[in-house]
Amino acid sequence: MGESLIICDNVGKKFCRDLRKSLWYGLVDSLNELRRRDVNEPDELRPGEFWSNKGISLEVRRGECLGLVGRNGAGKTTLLKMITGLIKPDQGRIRITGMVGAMIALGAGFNPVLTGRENIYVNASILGLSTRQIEDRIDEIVEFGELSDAIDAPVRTYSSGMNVRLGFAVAAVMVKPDVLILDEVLAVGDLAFRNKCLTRMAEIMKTSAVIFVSHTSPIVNRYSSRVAWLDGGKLVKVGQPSHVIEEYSASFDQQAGETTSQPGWTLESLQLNGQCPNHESTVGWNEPLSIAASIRLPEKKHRVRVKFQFSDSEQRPIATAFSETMETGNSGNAQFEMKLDQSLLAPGKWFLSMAVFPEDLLSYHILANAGWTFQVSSGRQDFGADRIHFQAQWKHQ
Amino acid sequence: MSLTKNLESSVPKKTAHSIAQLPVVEYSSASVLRNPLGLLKVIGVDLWRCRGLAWVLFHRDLMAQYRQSYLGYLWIFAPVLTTVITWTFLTSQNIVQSFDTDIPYPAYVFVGTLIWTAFSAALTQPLASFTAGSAVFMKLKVAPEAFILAGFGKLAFDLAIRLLMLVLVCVLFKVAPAATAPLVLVAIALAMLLGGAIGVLMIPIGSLYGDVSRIVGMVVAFGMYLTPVVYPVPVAGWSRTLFELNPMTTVVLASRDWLSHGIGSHGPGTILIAVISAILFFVGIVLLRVFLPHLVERMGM
Repeated sequence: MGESLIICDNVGKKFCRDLRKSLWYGLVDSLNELRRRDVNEPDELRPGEFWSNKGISLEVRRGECLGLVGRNGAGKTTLLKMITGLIKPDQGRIRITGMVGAMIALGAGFNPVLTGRENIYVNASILGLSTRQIEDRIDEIVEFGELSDAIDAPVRTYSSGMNVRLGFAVAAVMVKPDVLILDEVLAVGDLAFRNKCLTRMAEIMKTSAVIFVSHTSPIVNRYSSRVAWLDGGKLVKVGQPSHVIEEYSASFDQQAGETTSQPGWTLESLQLNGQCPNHESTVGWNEPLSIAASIRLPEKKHRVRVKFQFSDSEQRPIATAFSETMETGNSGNAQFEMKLDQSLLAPGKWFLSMAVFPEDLLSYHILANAGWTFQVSSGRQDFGADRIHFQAQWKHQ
Repeated sequence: MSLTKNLESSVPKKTAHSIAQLPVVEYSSASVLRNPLGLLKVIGVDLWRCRGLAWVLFHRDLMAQYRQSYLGYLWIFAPVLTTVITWTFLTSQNIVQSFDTDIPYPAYVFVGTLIWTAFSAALTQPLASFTAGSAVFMKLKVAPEAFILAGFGKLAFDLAIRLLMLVLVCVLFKVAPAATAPLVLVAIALAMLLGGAIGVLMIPIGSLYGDVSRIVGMVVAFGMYLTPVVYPVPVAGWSRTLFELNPMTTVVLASRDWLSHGIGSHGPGTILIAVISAILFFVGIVLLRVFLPHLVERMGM
């Protein structure tokens, strides 16, 4: 581990959402600065203000990558802005050693009327490259962005994906910084390009002190050496990525019951491996998983199809079990059960939802998403960011 | 073998990232003016470093501005021509009384407008460039002076083209240039310096409150009529006092005299204006730096 390049010591920053007041405070702060006074009463909030960052202390060394997670408005961007030196902290100190590179505004200064090539010059100059350095790298940039066909066309003819590719390519081939700040920029372009970006970032990360913000937990998990969780401007926890991310995901309020159904149809109960799924429910990877649902329905026979859907910690649907058409009895009650011999869901947090459709699938009887959640655990530690893991038969010679 | 080993150990290890040679910055709530020399040094270094960026931005704006138009650079002449044609029309038709000018009236208006636009455009340019560039330096650490410098570059380019037209106007209206005619360039530079200084001073408040640019727009429109741009200085009355208090009166009068008469008596006045403008300009640049983090914070909302 190298030397400490980013040191934040008890950093605090006030923020004001009232536009008029904020502008006025800006003026007052500026005048105080002119009178060589430090921030007026650094510990007290003026009307309308709140702490957007408070008591933040952290340290990032060369070769280390700190992932920053937290909900929108938790103060992540404010912290990054202070670290890049764009705004001043109201409390505490920040000490930065070495050259700072920030990938925050991809494609800064792009002019849509100009060609991609012309815009590379503008964007790279903004990032601090000299004309000669740009000339040396321009082929590399065009190649990295996979834009050789379109590079002499005006940027406004580009698709949005091409636009970010160009922006990322310029930033990615710049001089290697000592300190690198990444704000949600890794999720650009299509899958192939995204992987290329991640590989490139991983390369830079080896020799820099990196702070990066991402809402994609698996990426944070995979690339960070530590993760800091920011909530309400304060550091809730700093530590090993998988632990912090797990706690962070668990902190989301359970989704309010979002169950809609047609008159006469109700979901009575739902059980996962014999019990109602909750935060403590655990299922082993590659072990049996069963879900049973019991519903009440109008007293006649119905031909229905039932669906269970599994979504990952960010509520993205990952896997589905969809039944064939089943006929119910006419007693007004029905039970459905789904069984998997081996669940291939990867370790982590999962959300479960269910639906009952009529045979033609043109409408629904029940859509139930009551925030059912469970954990998948495994003795193995070698799972990456992928959400499904096969248990395969391997051969070798 | 032991010899080389000894040699190796006696040489201090040089790593690619020896921490001693890396720049260290510290951010805190302390006022940057507590270390004024340090601030000046930072400004100086940044200004020097941003020249490349300023050039690229200037180039970008120049190319982008006329790429979407057929008449292209001809538009640079349009505002000056309109003023000349309007006032020539008004006076020739006796809608407005004609003025007794020592050079043909259209040439008189042309020179006046040339100098006045140098001033008024330099006045509004800094805030406009700052606002246009704010999207960039609110997110990245870039010297905002680069954008302002690029704006001045664009302005200088426009004025240079209009100067060429001045030559044409002189030929057309048979204005015999004096030996001091090249000093018109100095007058233009002076008008830009004065306007630019006020413009840069306005950025801190102007970027926070939209009122500023509106007020400036009104004052500039009115100010043209308190300057001998399209008519001479009134002979008497309180309007004459207003004209005389206006530093641009000196600059405009000087430019016309330098073009067709000679050095005249404008030396001390213009030098004084130059010195004061230069000081104001410097103060404006320093103020901008002191205020910048606060502006970024409040504009970034």
